[in-house]
Order: sequence, then structure tokens, then C-alpha cells
Amino acid sequence: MTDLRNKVEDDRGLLKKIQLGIPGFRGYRQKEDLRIADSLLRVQIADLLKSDVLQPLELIRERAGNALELDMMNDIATVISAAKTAESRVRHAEQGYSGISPAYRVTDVELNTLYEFDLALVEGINGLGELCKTALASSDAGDFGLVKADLRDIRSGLSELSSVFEKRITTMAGLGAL
Amino acid sequence: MALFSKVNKKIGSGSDIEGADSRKGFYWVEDQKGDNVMWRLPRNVMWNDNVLVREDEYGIFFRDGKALAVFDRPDRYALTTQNIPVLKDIAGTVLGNVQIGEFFWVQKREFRDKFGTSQPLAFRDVDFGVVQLRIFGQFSYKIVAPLLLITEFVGTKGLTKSEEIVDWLKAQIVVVLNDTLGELKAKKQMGVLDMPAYLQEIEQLCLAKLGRETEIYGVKIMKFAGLNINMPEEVQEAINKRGAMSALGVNYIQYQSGKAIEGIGAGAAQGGGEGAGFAMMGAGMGAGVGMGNMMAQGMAGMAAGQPAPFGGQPGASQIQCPKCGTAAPAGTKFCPECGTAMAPPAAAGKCAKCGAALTAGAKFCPECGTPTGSPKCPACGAELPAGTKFCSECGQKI
Repeated sequence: MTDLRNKVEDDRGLLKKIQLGIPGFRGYRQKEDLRIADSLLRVQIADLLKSDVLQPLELIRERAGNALELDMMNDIATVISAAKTAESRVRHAEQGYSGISPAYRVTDVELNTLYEFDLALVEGINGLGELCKTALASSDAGDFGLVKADLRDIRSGLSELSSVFEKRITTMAGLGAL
Repeated sequence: MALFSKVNKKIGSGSDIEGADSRKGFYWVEDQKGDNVMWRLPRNVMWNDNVLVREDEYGIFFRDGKALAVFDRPDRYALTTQNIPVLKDIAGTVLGNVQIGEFFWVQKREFRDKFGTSQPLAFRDVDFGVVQLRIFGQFSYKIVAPLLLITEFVGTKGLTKSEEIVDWLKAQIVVVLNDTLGELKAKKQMGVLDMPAYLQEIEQLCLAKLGRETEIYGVKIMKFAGLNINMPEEVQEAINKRGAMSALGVNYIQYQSGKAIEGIGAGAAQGGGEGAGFAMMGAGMGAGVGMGNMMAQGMAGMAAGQPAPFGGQPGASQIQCPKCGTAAPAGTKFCPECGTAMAPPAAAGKCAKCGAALTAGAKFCPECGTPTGSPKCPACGAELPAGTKFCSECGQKI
């Protein structure tokens, strides 16, 4: 995955370059760019969750619905709901903002840590995506017994993702940004 | 420009830079938001107009009829057009027209609403035949593809109330619900009585099916909740009756007879003969037509002033009071009219164990439960007369 921090830096327009030259404004610009990069990354991660996890789960629900697998419907609904929650939490997470003269400063290093933390989520989501793919294949084959087992794994994966993301919030609180 | 500015102010324009016509920052003002799913910036976009797209909004930029960008990230965006102040007027004069830039906002948030069947759905049920079902519930929906919504569904109207979309969604929901219930009946043999136990599952089934119907228009039903499948009163009454009959272990005729007696009691308590007569009439009407001889006998009993006891066996053999001659069902120990001990039915022998009198056809002793038939030898199986202590065939002790 492209390092969006470099991309944001490379794409700075004239106005932003001027801002970098103004004493006292440079730090603001740099931190703002890091926040933008992190926000862009989170949007990408949320999109990944949507395309690799949420959408296959919704397809599984459709397959189960077509097969009138009544007993499975609530299980799928629970997992979909967990995936949706995870997706919106990632998409709308805190950006690590601190005011002009805050009691605690969020430094460049800390914002970089935040970026790397978010980047580390990609691997976990890829794993979840693989599980969803398997479950979707099983549902296509009409083997809903296997789907049920896969759903359990996906659910535990999502709850793990959720608890990892909870740590991000704790980290943010530790930075004094909350 | 000035004209647009005035209009904008009047409707609560998103301009937040007072007096700066050439550079404006627009946002979706609260007055226009509410339950609207979409809002069009009420003026054409000028060169470098800034628009604000919030976390809960999409922004769509059209230029000369083409959708150039969908902004799904919250940010402030500077839009590019050829409509540069002053130059625009010159271009307009020379070329005869100017570029048309339009901007739309669409809400990302979920909208909630209620649905219900305006007309009852006719449902062919296994137990009750054709049943008219009324279905109610709540749902939430959101716009997932704003461009599809605009291009395929609402068009480029200035202001679109969510009601327009909701009406369409409600119709879709009812169609899908009807289809789903029909499928469940046909393939899973689900009757109306089973439905309350599967409401959440039915919600999810409909949710899965609705996705296909609505997503092509950029709208998605997100949730179903509080699904309520109501049966018409008469079916509900029949269900209650069936439950009561099952709990009491009686059949329909017995149940109706019991109800009739209750009516008589209540009528008598209210006003004696007149009330009782009315209650009997009601019971007779309630029992309906075609109850056969059994009901006729029961009614005859009631007409004579001796109603059959609830849970008794109407139509079974009757006995007469030895004193006043009142007929009562077999098994009645005292005359319901004069209280005299009823004459026991003709005895058909005595119990081999306790000596109690047995009625004709009785298989077990009514006192001790001993089988009344001839005993058999446990060793050789030979039939033995009652009271025998040893088998006459093999000598086995009984």
C-alpha cells in the first residue's frame, strides 16, 4: 500500500508550500498533512472492510435467504452488524487534533505512530477477507453447515479487530487528544 | 450574482462569506436538511466556489450535465468551472451561453420510518384457509450510491423530500414480505401460527431480498425492526378458542356447550328467566349450524332446564332420576333438579378384586382400576373365570 504521507507531501499545492515557509505555520501544516494522510488511510481501510468483509457477508445473507435457511439468518445478521460497526468506527475515528496552545501536544511522532497503527489493521482485515471468501464459497455450494462455522471465526475476528481499535482510542487518550 | 445572493439569503443559503460574491463557501444549511435526502445548491457553481461536505454527507458535482465527482470524504472542496466573474458575462455575450455547474448534497445518515400494509394481504394458511394478514413494522434506509440515486431515481430536482423515496420503499417492502411469506408457506410449510416465532428471521429474509430491489437505485434498506404480523379478529378468536379447547381437552361442541352454560349462568344471575333465555339463544346461535345430533341433544337438555355439565359427554347414554324423571347424562350421581341419588345403570357383574358394581361394557373397575375382562393364566394363557386362584389347565397360582 502506498505511503499516503509521502503522497500528501508530494501533492502539496502552492498555497500549502507557502504555509510551510511561514514561521509558526509550518508545524501546523505538517501535522495537518499527517492527519489528512491518516484520514485517507482510514477511509481506505474502511473501504477494504466494506468490500472484503461486509459485501461478502451480505451476499451470504442473500444466498441463505434464497435457500430459506431460517436458522442462519440471525447468526448472519449479528456478524453483519459487527462488521458495520467496525467499518464506521474506522471510517469516523478521531484524527488526533490538538488546539493552538493545548495542555498536551500531539506531536508529529505521535501522529506517525497513529498512522502506523492504522496501517497495521490492513493485515487483520485481509485475513478476515479470506475467511469471508471461504464462507461465501461454501454458501454458493449450499453448504450452510460450513458457513455457520466460518461465521463464528469471522465474528471472533471482528471482535478482535474491535478490541485492537479500542487500543487506538486508548492511545489517543494517552496522547491527550481526547 | 446579486440576484442569486438575495435568493440564497431568503432560503438560508450556505454562503458563509458575507459580501464576497466571487468566492463563496457553501454548505448544506440546517433549514434545508432535516428529512431531505438531497439538496441542490440553489445557484450555478462559479469558478473556485468552495463547498463543504460533512461527515454525514455526499457531495456531487455536475458540470455541463456530466457528473464529474462524488465527494464521499468530509472536506472543503474548491470547484473548477469556466464561470469566472466578469469573464463569464463577456463569454456569455460573445458565445451566447455559459457553463452550467451544479452541486448536490445527499445525506449519508440512516433514515427511519414505519411501514404497514394499507390493505390486508390474503394468505392461504394450512390451518385456517385464506387469512387476511396485516403487517406492520419499522425500517431504516440510507443512500449508498448518491450518483445512482440522482441519475436513476430522483433526477436533478432541487429538493427531494425523503417521503418520495419512503413511499416507494414501503411498496417494495410489502411486495417482498408477501413474496417471502408465500415462499415460507410453500417451501417450509409455515402457517400463520408459526410466524410469531420467526419474526426476526423473516425480517432478515426480507432484508436480504430487498437489497436486490433497492440497491440499483442507490438506496439500501439497512434494518428491519418490530415486525408485527396481525391476524384478523376472527382468526385470532379461533386461535384462542383452539387454545382453550386444547387446554380443557374438549372438542368444539363440548366447548360451545360449556360456553352456553356460562351464558345461562350469567343470564340467570342478571335477571332470571329472561336473561337465561337470551343467553341460550346466544349460545344456540354461537354453536352454529350443522352440529348434528350431539348438539341437538345438548340443546334439548338445555331447553329442558337441565344443561349438560361442561366437559360431559353430550349424546352419551342418559339416565333418569328415579324420583322426578329428569334426564341426565350417564355418570351423574345426583339429580340436577331434585338432588335425589340417580339410579345406577344396569350392573354388569362385579369387580373381581374389590367387588364394586360394573357397568355394561366397562373395561376397568371404576373403583380400583382392575381390568374387568376374564383373567388369563400367566403361564399357559388359558382364559379363567373371575375369582379363580389356580389355573384349571396347568395349576399355576394366579
